Amino acid sequence: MKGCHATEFIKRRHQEISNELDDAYETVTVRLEAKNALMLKALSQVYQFPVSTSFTDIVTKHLVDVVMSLSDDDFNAIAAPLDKKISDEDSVIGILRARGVLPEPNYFTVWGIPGFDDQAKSPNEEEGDGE
Amino acid sequence: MTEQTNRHELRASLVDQDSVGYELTRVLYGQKAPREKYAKNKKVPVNLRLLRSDLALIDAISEQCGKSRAWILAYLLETDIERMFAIIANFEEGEVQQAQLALAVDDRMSTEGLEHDFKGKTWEWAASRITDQIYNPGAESILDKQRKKRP
Repeated sequence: MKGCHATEFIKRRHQEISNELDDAYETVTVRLEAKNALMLKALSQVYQFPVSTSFTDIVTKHLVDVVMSLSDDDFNAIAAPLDKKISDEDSVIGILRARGVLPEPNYFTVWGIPGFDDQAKSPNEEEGDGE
Repeated sequence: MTEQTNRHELRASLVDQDSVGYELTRVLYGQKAPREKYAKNKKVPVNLRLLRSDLALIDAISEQCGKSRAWILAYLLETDIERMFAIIANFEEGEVQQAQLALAVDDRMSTEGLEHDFKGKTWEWAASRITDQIYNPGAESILDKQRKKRP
């Protein structure tokens, strides 16, 4: 395997994708009332959890509930632009799609594969057509 | 029925009305009063690692609903902290742990010279057992017992 161009290539891609995943996150500072900040610190000590990363998934789930509760006008303004985004299943968009609240995007259009439009069939369907 | 109407009804049927997100939306729409604050302490910074896509969504909600990203995040986090504290009472031996946490944090507030919220908004008040006072007025509450154990 030593000196294999393909293994070097895949190692480099692995590293690049890891870096992209890191880029998916951002550390932000939230200013809390003193009594809440102190309670959060106490809870994190008693129940042994890191504050900074423990709320990553919790905030995602809250945002799903927020978007689900929005008025139609606000939902259309906020969620409609998300329709064509690709996102993993644990993201707000992914969860909303899994619940059927947002439609699945047409991946051919999203990925910009030429020759496919919104009406395009999936490759499997096309294979089936050929039989 | 249009696809959009179907989605509206689907959202309405799936929304969890006990969720923090639903509560936040009600506050944003003026259907629920925001949390009352009395003490005028300097706010304490807390770092959170969040998905950029979630932050973009919060910014979109912020723009649409007129509250800042900082306000929305602080509301979510402070509601979470209150709910985490409240649920501890349901654990085995949880009431004792809740009382200890309340006393420790309120004591820390005092030793750091921080202003307490008025009586009804301290952690000790949140941990007090109102039912004790109604059904068992003479008995010592869990909070009182823990208070006596303090050094």
